Amino acid sequence: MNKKKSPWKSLAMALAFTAAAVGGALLRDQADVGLPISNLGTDQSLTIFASKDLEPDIPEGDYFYYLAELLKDKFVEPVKDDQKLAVGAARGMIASLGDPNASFMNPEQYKAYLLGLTGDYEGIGVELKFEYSKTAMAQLEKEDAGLDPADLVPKLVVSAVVPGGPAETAGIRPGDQIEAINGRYVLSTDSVLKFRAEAKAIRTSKADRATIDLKLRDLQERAKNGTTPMRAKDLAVLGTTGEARIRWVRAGQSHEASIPKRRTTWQPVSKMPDGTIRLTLIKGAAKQLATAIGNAKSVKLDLRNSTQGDSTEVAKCLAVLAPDGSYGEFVTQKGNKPVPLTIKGGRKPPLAIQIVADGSTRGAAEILALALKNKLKVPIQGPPMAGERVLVEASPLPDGSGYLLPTSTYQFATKASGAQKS
Amino acid sequence: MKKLLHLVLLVVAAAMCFSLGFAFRDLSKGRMPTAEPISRLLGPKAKAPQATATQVFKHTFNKILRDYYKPVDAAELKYAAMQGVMGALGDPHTVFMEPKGTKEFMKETSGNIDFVGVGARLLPDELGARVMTVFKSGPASRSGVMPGDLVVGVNGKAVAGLEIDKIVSQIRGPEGTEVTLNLVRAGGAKVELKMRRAKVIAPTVDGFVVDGTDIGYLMIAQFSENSVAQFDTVVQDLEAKKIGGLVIDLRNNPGGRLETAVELLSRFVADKLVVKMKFRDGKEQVERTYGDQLHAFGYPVVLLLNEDSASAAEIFGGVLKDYGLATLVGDHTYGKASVQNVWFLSDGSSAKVTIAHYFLPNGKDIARRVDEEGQYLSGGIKPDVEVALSLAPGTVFGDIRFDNQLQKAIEVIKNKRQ
Repeated sequence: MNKKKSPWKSLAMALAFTAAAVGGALLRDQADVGLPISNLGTDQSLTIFASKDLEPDIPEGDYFYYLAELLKDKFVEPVKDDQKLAVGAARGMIASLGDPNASFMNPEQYKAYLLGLTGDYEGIGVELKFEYSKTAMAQLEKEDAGLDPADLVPKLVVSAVVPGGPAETAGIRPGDQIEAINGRYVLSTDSVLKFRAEAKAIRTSKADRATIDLKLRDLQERAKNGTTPMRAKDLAVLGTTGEARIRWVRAGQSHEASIPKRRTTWQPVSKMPDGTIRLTLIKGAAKQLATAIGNAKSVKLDLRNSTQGDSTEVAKCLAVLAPDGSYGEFVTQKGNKPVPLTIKGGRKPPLAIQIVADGSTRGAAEILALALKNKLKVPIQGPPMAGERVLVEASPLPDGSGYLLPTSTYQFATKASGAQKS
Repeated sequence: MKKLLHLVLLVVAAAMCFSLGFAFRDLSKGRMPTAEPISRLLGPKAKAPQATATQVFKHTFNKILRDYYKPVDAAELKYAAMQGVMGALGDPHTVFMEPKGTKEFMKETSGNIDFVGVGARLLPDELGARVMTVFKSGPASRSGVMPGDLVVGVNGKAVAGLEIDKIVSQIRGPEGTEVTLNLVRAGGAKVELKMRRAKVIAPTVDGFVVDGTDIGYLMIAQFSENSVAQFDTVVQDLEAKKIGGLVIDLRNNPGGRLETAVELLSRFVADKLVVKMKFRDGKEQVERTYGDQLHAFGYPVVLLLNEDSASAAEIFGGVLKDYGLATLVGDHTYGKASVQNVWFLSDGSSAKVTIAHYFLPNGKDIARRVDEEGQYLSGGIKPDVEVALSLAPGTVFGDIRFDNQLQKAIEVIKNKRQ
């Protein structure tokens, strides 16, 4: 043996042994975990899925298990993937809420949704929303209208257009209603009522039976040539090739155009020639906003055409614009403890803010505007905003689909007056 | 040499450290390391540690219940989830029924359509309502109402010009109360008949001789347990009236018991294949008609079918068509082609699950296919003579004045007799 052992050599050996042990432990980690979870995404919901025993036992769980086993055992076709049963359950539960802000999205739709949060759009470059017709709702309440809840089909309405995107270029604007797509009209409660009224008029007309029969048959054919608003939305916002033939109405006037589908990018912040800053609360908005404002003493924010939003950007943008403090709270209708919207590390030098908004200011943008208005008395120019202050949470499911769940609404409460209406 | 030994020792020591690190998780928990994690690493690629379907379900269920900003009824949410589970299979006949729906379903399939009334089927008429059939041993039958009578008033109030639904709702009322019908008989005689409303059972089979013809009309509303006896009675009655042709109306017949259809088919054909059912496990089962129940129909038989004729009704129609025993008139049928079984669940709900596909004697698959908008593409039984029902008002099944499909059926019979 070498008697003159260098201390450096011993240290290197000790290090090598330690490294070997740590390497072994790391490899063991991998053996125990299996494939990395990261290929499923990093969302918290998925981390929960990957770990066992986190969900407590509930009778509904046993019930689901029993039904799933029954189907796997008895259904005429083999059930190859029982995850699709769980995904089906999610779809059923979300649909049962009957909430236009809650939605289930298949993998393709969910992917497009997540892309939209970062400003990347497919299709013709629009944000679409489902809107229930107020006249139809009123008619539903009148008993003899012959409407039942199943007849309630929402209208498909443009909530925002990607600046410079194909839809905007073709002339589509927020507030427009999509009336037809690719030659099929978009079904809505209004169209159901219209067809009914037409059928009644034909039936009670003085024409002979053969003519009435013919006219009703023609009406039936026309009624069949429709598509649901949900499917119409997919046709407009999914895909990056080909085109969609869209007919839209604004103020009673119909317009029609073939609009190409392609990938478009929406910048969260853009500075107009007059210095106004157009802001949409997609990912990265706060960072760009800070750069755009710089050392300015005043800023004019244009929050129109802003519906898509990442709720985490609200607080970040507030911190760029406003000093520390409490800016209202998020509440539920279940009596949960309100969650305050608090800013820490906010802006120190004073900033005079002006806001321009209208009916196309929704969700995250509307919450931001209200927080500034109520706390700092920031003036808001323009017609009323959309009145949508719902905070929506996205959750992925193992097959790549996902769902949106409204979790709270924003309100600004002062100790003296309670909730303020804006 | 010494150097080499030194190196080997070093490598062995390092390997031991490595193993120690690898097994540390086991050792620290006081158990012996096993080869299992190594095989997990080196063995065939393990699957991603995906949560089980039940965990995914529980997570979503809990999340919606906990995080949705409005109160949610846990039971309703559970039912919606189970509907979604069944919906995920893409088969419209595999459905979840909550307790209320289960009760209704059981009532429907028990075979009796019962309600409180006087027990008569009415047709619209300009002067009020015309009595199409009178149910045996019902209040109307007992007090002497006859088919063909014209209802011109209810409780002394004229009903001319009213829609048929309004007239029916005036005649109906609480069990045990009285109602008076003002009738005009075929010869023009006016009669007033008083009767006490009672629970009546609408027969699933009904029939009469079509006005101005010698052709019988027999309607099967659904295939239930008592349909066979009712069918035999109605056929007997019609044959006593010397009919020279029979129209069997299966329009809007949603099906029912397969056994009943088999028994009725045994009147037409002896010991022949009705359907072949294929189950999940590859097992096949066949239904055949009986050999000893043949009835001599000495006249042409025409079936009326439409898109709401499904299941047992399609089998009945398809079998008679395949053996060339009847001419089919109307629209194509629904295209069900599958057999369901019902499982009752712990909370009073039930699961109706498709357990087999069936094929008619000619082996053709009649399963309904729809496009992505849910519109019919193909499937069902195609009639021999296609004719769409008139959409004009007043068209009622079995009313020879306006029912153009029945008119066509009678024309077919007349042509056959020539």
